[in-house]
Amino acid sequence: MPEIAALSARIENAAARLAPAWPLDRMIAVNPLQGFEDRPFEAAVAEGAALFGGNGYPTPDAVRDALASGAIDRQVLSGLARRHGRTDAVDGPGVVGGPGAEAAPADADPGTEAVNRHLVAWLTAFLDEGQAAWPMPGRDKGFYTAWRRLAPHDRGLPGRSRIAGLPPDALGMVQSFLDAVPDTEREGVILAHLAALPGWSSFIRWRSGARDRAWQAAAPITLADYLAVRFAIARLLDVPEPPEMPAGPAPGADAPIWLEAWEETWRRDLTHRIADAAGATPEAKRDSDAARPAAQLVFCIDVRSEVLRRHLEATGAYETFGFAGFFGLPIAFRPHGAEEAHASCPVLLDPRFEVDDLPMGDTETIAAERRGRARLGGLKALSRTLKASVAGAFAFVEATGLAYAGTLVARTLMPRGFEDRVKKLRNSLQPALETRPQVDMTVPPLEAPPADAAIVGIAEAEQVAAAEAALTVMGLTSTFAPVVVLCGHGAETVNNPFAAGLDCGACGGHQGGPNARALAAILEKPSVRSQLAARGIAIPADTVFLGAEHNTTTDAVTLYGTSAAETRHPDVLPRLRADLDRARRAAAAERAARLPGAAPADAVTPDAAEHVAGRAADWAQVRPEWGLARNGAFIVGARALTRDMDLEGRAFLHSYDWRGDGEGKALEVILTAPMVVAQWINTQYYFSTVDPVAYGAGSKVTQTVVGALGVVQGNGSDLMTGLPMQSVHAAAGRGYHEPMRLLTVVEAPRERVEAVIARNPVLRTLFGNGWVALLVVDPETGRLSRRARDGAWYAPDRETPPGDRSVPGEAGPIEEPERRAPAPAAGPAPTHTPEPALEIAS
Amino acid sequence: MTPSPDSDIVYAPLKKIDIVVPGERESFVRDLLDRAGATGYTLVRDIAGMGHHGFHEGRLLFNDRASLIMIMAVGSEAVIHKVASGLRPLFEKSSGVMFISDTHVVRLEHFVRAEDEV
Repeated sequence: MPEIAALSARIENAAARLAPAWPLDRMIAVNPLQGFEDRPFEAAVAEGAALFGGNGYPTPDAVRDALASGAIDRQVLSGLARRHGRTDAVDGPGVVGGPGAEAAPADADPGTEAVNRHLVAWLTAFLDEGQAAWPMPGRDKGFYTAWRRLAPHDRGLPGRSRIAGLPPDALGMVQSFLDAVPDTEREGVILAHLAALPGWSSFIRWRSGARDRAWQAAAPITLADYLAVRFAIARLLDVPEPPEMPAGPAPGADAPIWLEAWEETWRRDLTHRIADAAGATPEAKRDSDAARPAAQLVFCIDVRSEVLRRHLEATGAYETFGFAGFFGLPIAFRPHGAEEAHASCPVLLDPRFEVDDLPMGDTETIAAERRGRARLGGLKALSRTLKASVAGAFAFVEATGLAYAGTLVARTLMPRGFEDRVKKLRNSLQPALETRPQVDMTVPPLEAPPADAAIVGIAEAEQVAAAEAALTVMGLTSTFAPVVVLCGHGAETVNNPFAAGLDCGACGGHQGGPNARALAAILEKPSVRSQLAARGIAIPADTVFLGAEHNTTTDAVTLYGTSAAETRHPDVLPRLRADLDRARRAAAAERAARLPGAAPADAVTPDAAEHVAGRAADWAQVRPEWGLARNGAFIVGARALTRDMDLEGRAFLHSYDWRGDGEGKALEVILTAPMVVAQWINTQYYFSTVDPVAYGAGSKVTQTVVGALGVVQGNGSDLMTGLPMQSVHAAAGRGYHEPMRLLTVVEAPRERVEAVIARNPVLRTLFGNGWVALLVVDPETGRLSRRARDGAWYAPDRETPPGDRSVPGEAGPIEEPERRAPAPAAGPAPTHTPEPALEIAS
Repeated sequence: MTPSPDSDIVYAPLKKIDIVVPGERESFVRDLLDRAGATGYTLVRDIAGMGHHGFHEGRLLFNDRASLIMIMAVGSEAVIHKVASGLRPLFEKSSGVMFISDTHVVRLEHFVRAEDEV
């Protein structure tokens, strides 16, 4: 029926306001207000408060702390307060109970609570992804159908006899419930019902589109199913009205100014440093870069790479680059022994190729590993079965309780030693096997069974194209070092449901080593190199590409497939290994100083290395590392621009050579993908900090993992999306992450940046609505420019923060900025005379 | 049915719909076509073009979601009407266009289901 088709579009439109939520095994950072990015930041925050009850600005307490610590500079705040015509804002938040004070969240109405309680129980049972010992029956028919079959047996539901009379299909049920609602109002009603359980709705939004997810095939669900069951329960409980969720606290008119002052305080210092670097004779820097380094290392753009890169560069003649951690390969990767491949690329992309990890070594070694894997797998399955079995659980506990108690004590008191022993035991049962990613295409034999019939590998033309794109976009097309290391990353943590959130976001929440190894394997092929040479990228015959992985929890770097490098460059590799170890210890010391629970002695090498290794193995550790907390900038340009800066692990660094990108194609790739991913990460950290409950996952202490897909609070709640409180706060009430929106810095001619923005709606939206700020460093003139939301450019001012004069309420055109004198201050004259606007010529 | 100049071939009249939407709407449109009874469709990714929001680049190397896609489907008037009914509300909130035109096919059975014969 056409009406049903139109109804499905209404659901799609309403759902577009929800950010999709990924399951724990591929936890991806996402802006919880992604559905409102088409609106100015302030309007989106207001929508989030009304719909999700979320607070969208730093809390008054956080602002007071930031003012006290200097994270918000009073002079910066003063300038902004005057510019916005709210001079009172300069005093900071008032006393408790004053404007902008935190208010206790109100409860939803009892009817809505009752519907939610029933619905959550059914959703938890249906959506289970392997945690439940007894799965819900009939899931293959879809959520609404499965519920309709089982719900008549639910004694907690009143009027169960009426279930049989409900429409048989989900969209029919939704249509029936909304029959009396005018078409123009339906989206609002649907959105209110989705937002009654935003976490579960967001997860269903993701899973219904995950066509490759085996669990979606086994238990298909759509948002129409969710709505149908919700409406049916509401009808049975006689709660027909759209749910009215309590609105979030009113932020107060000054909250946007305090946020901006916080951001601009940090950006002011960064801008000064970048201005100094840009003005420091760029040509001379380039000449010094022309010498062939001992090794080049390409890291992920992740903010954690910056710390290690800085310390590694300090040890010797190394050149480092930043590039998206999937290394430009949109692949699904199947680890050796795994039944299925997982997408190992940004969620903005669909995998185009499958790459399998192939075992190396002789037949006997491979067979021994296979036997060991089968044995270990069998033991794990047996243990799981016995623990979950009604009949066997008690006997199992009787028989093994003492041994479990012993391991519990050992694990708690000596986490690192325990983990090392477990690894040794595992290795004795299942000998470690060297593997290599199979990048070349293989076509399965015709007689292969259908399950194994996938074409694996990448056609050589595609390999060349991917390699060319990666090298061009990262700006590494000449002066190749003898050894080039492509380094993915992953975290090491135990007993942590959020482990995937610490892995590489560019690899879909997985470890990035496989992608790095795959690109290295491609670039080691002579046939690929000859085709790259024909396209202008001449790689010297003596250059060796290595895959590697950076353990972000311990800062250890593992090099893979080093035999060719050891043969060809026996002098380089031992030195590189030693320097990577020195860098590891120095990076660990720097990070340990910021980790809660670390004693002062833990922040000194070599103790720091031991300390962070201990955290990686500690099953009670709620903060194995800080992840991407305190991220604040995304810097696109040559390393020369930032090499002399200590960015404290707060900046995403993407390499870019503006000279080889006349049309801006590489810049377009960087801004439309890696920067978008960085913005998702930035907003997730921002909102999880300013409202750890509405936008974050709440405290780890009271979380329960459900369905192996997510966490709830207590024994049942909405699905908690976002980051746990412990990932962004150092302690209760004491923040660690500084909530600020991303500042993107681009080293490129301004006209090129503007042209890229003009032809990409996603960039116009992010820059135009205040989700991301933009600073451009013109490499030819050394001049810095900030871009206002309306597209006007102006010179950042050394003492007067640029601010953004296009936030709501700040009407009026922005004059030609380059010729504009510093804006005269309203009100009393400042006691400090601002320096002239920043203009640095090369 | 219209006989072609070559008497062995018969042109069967049907409707064709061309849909241009952002890549992030692909899943919805494919589901809509399935539900409406379309027997198949052709999907072209990374297309470029000019519209109300200015020129839109065709190929973003690392971002499928922001790229535009075009989906072409052929079916009976009833099927295409259902598809159009599902797209019209979508385009109230999201960018996209659809073009519906008369077309002819030779192998009718490939484009209509038995219960939906024209």
